[in-house]
Amino acid sequence: MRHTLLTLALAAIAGSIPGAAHAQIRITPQSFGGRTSPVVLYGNSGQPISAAECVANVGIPLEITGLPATGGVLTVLDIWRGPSGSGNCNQATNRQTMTGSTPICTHIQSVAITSTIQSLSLPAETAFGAAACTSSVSTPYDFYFLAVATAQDNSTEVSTTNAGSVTVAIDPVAPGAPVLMESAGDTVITVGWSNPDATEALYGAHVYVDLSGCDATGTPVTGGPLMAGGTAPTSVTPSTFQGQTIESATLDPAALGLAYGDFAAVGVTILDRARNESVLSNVVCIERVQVQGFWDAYCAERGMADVEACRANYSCSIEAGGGSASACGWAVGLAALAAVARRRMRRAR
Amino acid sequence: MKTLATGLAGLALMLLPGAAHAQTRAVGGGSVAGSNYAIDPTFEPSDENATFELRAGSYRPSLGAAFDASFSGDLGPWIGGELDLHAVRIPYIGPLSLGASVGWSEWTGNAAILSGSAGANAGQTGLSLVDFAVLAVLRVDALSRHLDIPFVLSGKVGPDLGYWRTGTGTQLQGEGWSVGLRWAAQLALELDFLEPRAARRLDEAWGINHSALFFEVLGSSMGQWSTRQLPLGSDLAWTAGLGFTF
Repeated sequence: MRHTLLTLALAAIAGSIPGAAHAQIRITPQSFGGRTSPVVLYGNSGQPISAAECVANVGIPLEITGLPATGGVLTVLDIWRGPSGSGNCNQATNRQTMTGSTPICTHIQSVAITSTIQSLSLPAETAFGAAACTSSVSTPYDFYFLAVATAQDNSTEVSTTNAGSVTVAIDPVAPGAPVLMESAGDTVITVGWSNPDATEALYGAHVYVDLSGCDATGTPVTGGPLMAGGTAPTSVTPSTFQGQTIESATLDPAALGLAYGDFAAVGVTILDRARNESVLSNVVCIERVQVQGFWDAYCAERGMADVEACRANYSCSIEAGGGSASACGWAVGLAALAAVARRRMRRAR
Repeated sequence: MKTLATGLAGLALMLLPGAAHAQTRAVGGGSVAGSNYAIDPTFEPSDENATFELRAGSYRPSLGAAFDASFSGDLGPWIGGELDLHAVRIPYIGPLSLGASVGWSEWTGNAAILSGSAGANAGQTGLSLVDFAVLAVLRVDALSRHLDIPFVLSGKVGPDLGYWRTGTGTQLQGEGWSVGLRWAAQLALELDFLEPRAARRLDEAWGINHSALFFEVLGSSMGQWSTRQLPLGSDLAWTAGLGFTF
């Protein structure tokens, strides 16, 4: 009891001292723009800020914990941007303008510390700079949140306790358009394409289908919503297929409403991890055709045009609902025979 | 052929510990002691209890024109393994064994387009087979053991059981089981004569009496006795591989 009281008293004293030790500052990005927790804003497993988000100056919601208590000397939260992994903005020299060179870290903004836990919306364009929104380079940055006494402090060495950082990448570059190949099918049509930016990890692809986009000979008609090399059409709802290296998607022609011999125009865009969407690929016509696989051919050869009835004819067919007991019994019997033979051999030894 | 055999023997040597330790083993009823292949005529090999085979080859079921058209030229391949447990040794002939084998093969081809644009990619069709067999195996190793001719002849027969699946595109169209009878005839070339010392060390260190390259022809009546089973049997198929007797 005495020990507990002593601990509480010491904690109260520590909390009342301006600038006294507190938990380390931690930055946690919050859900936004379709991103869900845990929000990662860089790398192949995260979703960087896209060009559209940057231009729209979308706010990046952050929760900042471990801030010093109010009433102390550290009243300002300075936000600095530094190159990812190589510029520690805690160090004063990295925040200072040196002779003949620009500082490694750039001051973004300063906010007042009002609580030990604060929420903050960091505007994307402000954070990265307007030039970054239209840059041709995808770059990660480290954003430093420094608890200091005065705004835009570039002379104080900030301890690790009074600093927190978060990595955010901006990817303003849309991937190149895929090159689509013609295809046909019966129950499924597999649309395949090549990805010109094979080195970049993707989020996935949008497949746009225009049922009236082809003529009777299977040639794309002009004037439709799908324009090769154009921006993604807004009048057609795409199907989304995910995959870091996706180069094909399967469509259900029956679900699309295609009868045998019908064509539909298809165009594809690919999306990088920031959801930058490429321009539309070339437009091709897919066709629903009557396809004969091995099983269809085998059944037809035996005069069974109905493949379901054909399948049901074969014993032990799982699809047919259990099949004949005699053939299944064969299988079980053989296994039992093998087991008995092995046991007898063991006994013989 | 000799080059390949030498290479495999070398591979077997590489698997041995650097310094093979001398080891005395009880003499059982296995190999005939004192084979001319042994450097030391008094060397007594360990017991022979089983034979294990790894194989690859081609198996094409006799399914008729539909199979030939759908999977034209696709030889599989058929890959698998077999373990034979030696039950009894018939003097001057060889061991009579009970074996179990498992194999897998898959055939694929482009699905045929019956109507519509010719030449468009309409996906693939396929058939896969996993087969199991319980076999009575007679290995005639008298040539090798008594006459120093490094060939072993084998005959095998037993029930054959196959699980098959077939589909086109992404659609599974059918699956089931077929049973029948399998037979096989095998010619094996024992590799002991290439490196007798290595063969002896293999026995001392691992208990492997003989390693051999083999070629086998086989047939199966799988599914051919019933109209309700897919006739996956084959009149003639072949495999080749590496066998170890231990």
